[in-house]
Amino acid sequence: MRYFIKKTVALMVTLLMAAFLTFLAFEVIPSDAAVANLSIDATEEEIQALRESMGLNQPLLVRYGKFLLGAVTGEFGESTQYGLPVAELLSDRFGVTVSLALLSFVLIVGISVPLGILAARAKTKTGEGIVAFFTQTMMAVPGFFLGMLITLVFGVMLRWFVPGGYVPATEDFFGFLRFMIFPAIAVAVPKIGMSVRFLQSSLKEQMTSDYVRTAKSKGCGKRRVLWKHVLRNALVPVVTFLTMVMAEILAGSIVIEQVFNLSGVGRLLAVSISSRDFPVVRAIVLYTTAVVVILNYGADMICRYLDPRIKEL
Amino acid sequence: MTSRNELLSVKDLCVSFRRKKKADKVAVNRISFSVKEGEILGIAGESGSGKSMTALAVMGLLPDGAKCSCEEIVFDGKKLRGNNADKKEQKAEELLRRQLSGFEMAMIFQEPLTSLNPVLPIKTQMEEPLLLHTSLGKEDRERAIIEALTKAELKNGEQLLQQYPHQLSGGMRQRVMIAMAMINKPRLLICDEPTTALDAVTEREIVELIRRLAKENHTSVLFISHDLSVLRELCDRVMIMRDGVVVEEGTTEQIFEHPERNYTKRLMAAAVKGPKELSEEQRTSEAETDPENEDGKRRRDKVAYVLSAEHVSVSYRQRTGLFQKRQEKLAVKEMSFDVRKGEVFGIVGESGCGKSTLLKVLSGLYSVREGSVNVQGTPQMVFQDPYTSLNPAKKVGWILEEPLRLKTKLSEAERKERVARMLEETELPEDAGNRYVAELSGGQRQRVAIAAALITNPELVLLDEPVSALDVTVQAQILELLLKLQREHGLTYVFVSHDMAVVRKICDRVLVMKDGKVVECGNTESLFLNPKEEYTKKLLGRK
Repeated sequence: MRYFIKKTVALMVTLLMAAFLTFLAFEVIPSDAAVANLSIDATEEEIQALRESMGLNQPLLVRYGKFLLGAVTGEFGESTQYGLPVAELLSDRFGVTVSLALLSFVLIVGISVPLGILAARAKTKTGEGIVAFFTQTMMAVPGFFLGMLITLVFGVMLRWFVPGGYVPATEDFFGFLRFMIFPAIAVAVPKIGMSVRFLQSSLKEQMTSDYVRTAKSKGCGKRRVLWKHVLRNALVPVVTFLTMVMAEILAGSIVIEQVFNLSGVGRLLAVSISSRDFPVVRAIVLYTTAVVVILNYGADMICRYLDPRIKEL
Repeated sequence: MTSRNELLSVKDLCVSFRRKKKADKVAVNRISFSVKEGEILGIAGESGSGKSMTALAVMGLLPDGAKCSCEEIVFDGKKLRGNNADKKEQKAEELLRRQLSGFEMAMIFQEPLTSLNPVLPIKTQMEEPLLLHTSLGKEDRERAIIEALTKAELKNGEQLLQQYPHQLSGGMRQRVMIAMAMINKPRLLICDEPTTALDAVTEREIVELIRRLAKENHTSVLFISHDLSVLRELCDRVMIMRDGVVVEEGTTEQIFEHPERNYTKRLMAAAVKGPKELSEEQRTSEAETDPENEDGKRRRDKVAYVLSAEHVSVSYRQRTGLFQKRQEKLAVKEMSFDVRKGEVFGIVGESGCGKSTLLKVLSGLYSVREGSVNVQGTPQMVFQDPYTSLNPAKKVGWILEEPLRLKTKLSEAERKERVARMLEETELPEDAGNRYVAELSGGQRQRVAIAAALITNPELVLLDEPVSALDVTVQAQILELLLKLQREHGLTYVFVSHDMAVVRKICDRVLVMKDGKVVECGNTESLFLNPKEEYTKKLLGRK
């Protein structure tokens, strides 16, 4: 309980600090939003007037307060590029990215946990060799290549899905799923390779522990030793690893989104940076940091539940 | 057919390990023995003698890669393992073993910390043998667990149930292990060096506990240890093993009073004599000699102090909560003592008494909070575990040369010469400089650690349990070496240990520590013969 409170306080502090740094970063960028919004031949008065109306002349802390308030209420200002409120612009993109992330996460966990256990039980040289070959191949294939390969085989040749034919889940849920499963596979495959290896080595290490011997001396069978004793010990590093993977996907897989023509957060970020759409960039940066921090918080909680020895801040 | 009161009989047991490109390494070579009902059989031997492998083979817990064969292992008339069993028979044997393990036969291990599952509460772990072998209901199980814990002299059993192994001390963990092993009142208990990782006081208590529980439940015990004094105290019969074979076997009295084989005699001689072995007359006569006088006789000409500590306190800070202030915990409290030039100064105490902290202060690794420490020159340190305190990626020669490279301006040739001399002095093979630490034995590694400490010609050497990770015979050799080097170089040692017998053999003066404070300090012999404080008596095993 105490651990939970400590961690929650730490989470809040980290989030505030991240928000402040994000805010500060855009403050020090040598580009004036007001100037950027006007044409080159704008007069000094016009610039000043716009600065006034955009609130750029207020003291730093006041502006930070406003920024923070906006962040909490989902008010990030207006995109200079699309002329739309940032919140509205982002909410569509979030839907795509989050569903892609969730779908690939389900694939990663659902496939790599059983495979990892199977791999750890591979006792023979050949068995280990097969595992090593497949996991290494999976890790080595670049995401864009895999994406293109999937599009070619399943989209163009087999016609299981229409390349670029994204359907929002609200319109046709199964159509949405039928399309999204392919980019999700492209995202998941390299990560599955990694997590299988991770889980395999973690399990193998635990299998040789003294407490396994004790469990056997009590009369536990192989299955009970694995599920009751080993798995929980072996999961801690895997949970931490999966959190990183999840954060990475949620922050937007620009390449996969590009290949499958998905309008997710990653692509929006790329476009916004090149067109200096700072309100959007700022919102995405803030969102990404928040995702990472909150996911780590969740991972800490799970690890603490799995392993009571973890207690330090 | 085995005779009626024979509980376990092992015939022609062999255990070997496969090795790459070499012949298999034989760990146990055709040994046979039996344990009678209610009997305590001890197996003694150095590490590598195959005693642990024998125990693990009986329990069917040999590590992967071990090959095991035998004529038969019979437990209570049931065949646990036979010769050349086919697949089907093996399955049946496996099933029988699982039914018996944790029920009729149980085992406790050397390392009580790692032998318990770190992520499961005590209750879950202790419940397992009950769940697997009995049909007790939830409440009965809990009652049985608390009863077992109480019998193992763990008082607040109910509180323990929800605790995790890391929250308990080493002694408590071993008690939990014993309680867990005894929970189904097994007929055979196998103990694999159960006290090696514990300090002297706890060791005695644990041995006593095992003896009492075995008697109460009429349990036979197979007790494996390299500590002969423990075996002598506990066992009815003792078997001495070496290189996988039985050297000698007999009743405890036969083995200890009239050993027949040379190896057994050597083992006894190497085991440093504990205070018990002294006769009463010896005690009184030695006690009469004036300790100061004797001390003066030894090093009359040197009264200089190499190290003096005055009112030293050491603390470390601990934060108990986010908003609480950091709390200071004192690991060493107001300690004052001097170490004379050329003496061996022993520091003894249970684990957790602050001896290691004190040593780190003396070596300058920690700073003091109050008081002062004056040390002449730069002391060198030798650590307990030669397996982990030497860099595995470097050759021995490099390890020995390093302090010279850093602290002196010697040329490479001079450094090499110094290394060669040091190897000779520590009785290491000449080519040891070109080997990696992993290629050396435990004793050789500790020699390397000693050589590395002495190569810069320090005046003072701090030894942190330098022999407690070693076998008795190797222990004796290393102690000899330390004493020889001390004589030749006029060194001063500060020797930290929990092994009273070793301390008695090597130290001139001893300081007894408890909870960071000095309990007693004085000449070794007089302290051993006439301990003044209750705690010292307890530590020496005299109540």
